[in-house]
Amino acid sequence: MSERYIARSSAIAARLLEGEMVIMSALDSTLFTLNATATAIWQAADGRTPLREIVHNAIHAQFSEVPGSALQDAETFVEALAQHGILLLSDQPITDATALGASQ
Amino acid sequence: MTMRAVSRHTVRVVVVIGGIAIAIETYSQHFASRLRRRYAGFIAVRQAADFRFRVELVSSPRRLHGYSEGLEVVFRNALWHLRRGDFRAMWDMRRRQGWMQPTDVLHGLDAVLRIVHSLILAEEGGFLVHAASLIRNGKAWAFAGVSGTGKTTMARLAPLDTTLLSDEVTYIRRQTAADGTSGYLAYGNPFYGELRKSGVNTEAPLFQLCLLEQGKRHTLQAVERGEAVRALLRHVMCFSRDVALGNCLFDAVCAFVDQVPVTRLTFARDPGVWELMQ
Repeated sequence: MSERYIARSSAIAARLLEGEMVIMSALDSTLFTLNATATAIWQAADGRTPLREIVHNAIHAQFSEVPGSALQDAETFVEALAQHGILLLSDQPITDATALGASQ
Repeated sequence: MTMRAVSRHTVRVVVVIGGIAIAIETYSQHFASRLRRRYAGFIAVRQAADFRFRVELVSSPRRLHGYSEGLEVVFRNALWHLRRGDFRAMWDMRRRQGWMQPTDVLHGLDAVLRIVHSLILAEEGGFLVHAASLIRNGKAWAFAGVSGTGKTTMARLAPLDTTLLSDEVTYIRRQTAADGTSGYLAYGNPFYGELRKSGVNTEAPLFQLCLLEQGKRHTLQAVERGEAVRALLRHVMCFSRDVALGNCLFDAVCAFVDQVPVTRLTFARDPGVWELMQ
């Protein structure tokens, strides 16, 4: 199974509010609010770190065990964000620096 | 077919909203007269303008053929480009001037003025928000909500000792005092909703912003910071998809919520709700 990579889109405005990331899409002004785990994944979306590693680190920081379904849940989540244009998703590392938006 | 006299000389009409004076320049006396009527109460006679806006009237809507019905506000080559089915305009923030070609003159100009004011305010930490606002006892109250939640109703239910600022758009500016302390002022403005009546050209410190919700009784509850920011962002008037502008608004709303209480006002449609606003 190939690795997947995620990077924050530059077409967003985002702020960390009370531990939750609030993201405003520049495409349609839609607001998204991420919970703590999703926020950790979002902040780690640097285009270079594989999603599998990001998920493991993000969940391991909050829970003692990483559930088997965690990666699958995360893939569903990042695909949804990618559909809204606020996250870039690729099978290759994302090196385009312009793709990376603010982490907070 | 009728003909209207067109002056060879530029006519200037200075419209002052939120303390910001924009000189609207036109060759048409007729248009200038319509402007003075539309923005009555907000016209300055002998005031230097902060910004200039030149309006070139288009004789036929066909001249603007090809422009989409949807609004587009894009920042490109150091200029804001605005266009909609009934107008196109450019705005140069650095030179403090703009240009506009409308077909439906007043409707188009009204939209452009809202956009231009929102761009000006964004640079200084202010914003326009979908909210009715009124002054009572020297304090401004804003009531935010989407269409149908009761903005105009709150204005209609208001007692006689209130002053209407707007039943649709609350105009918010950040004010910094000489000692460095800051606060927010709400300004009366000519942008109205169902009431079809301009606000009074005055201002007051914004005391509270209430998120409107209809219910069976009147209650006023505090809203925690994160929820307040999210709710307010949904009501702030953001006309552009520009990322830098989005970041400006984010910062402005966060700073606002740190200073002005945001509450949830549940109300039944009767004047008793105003007993909560003392």
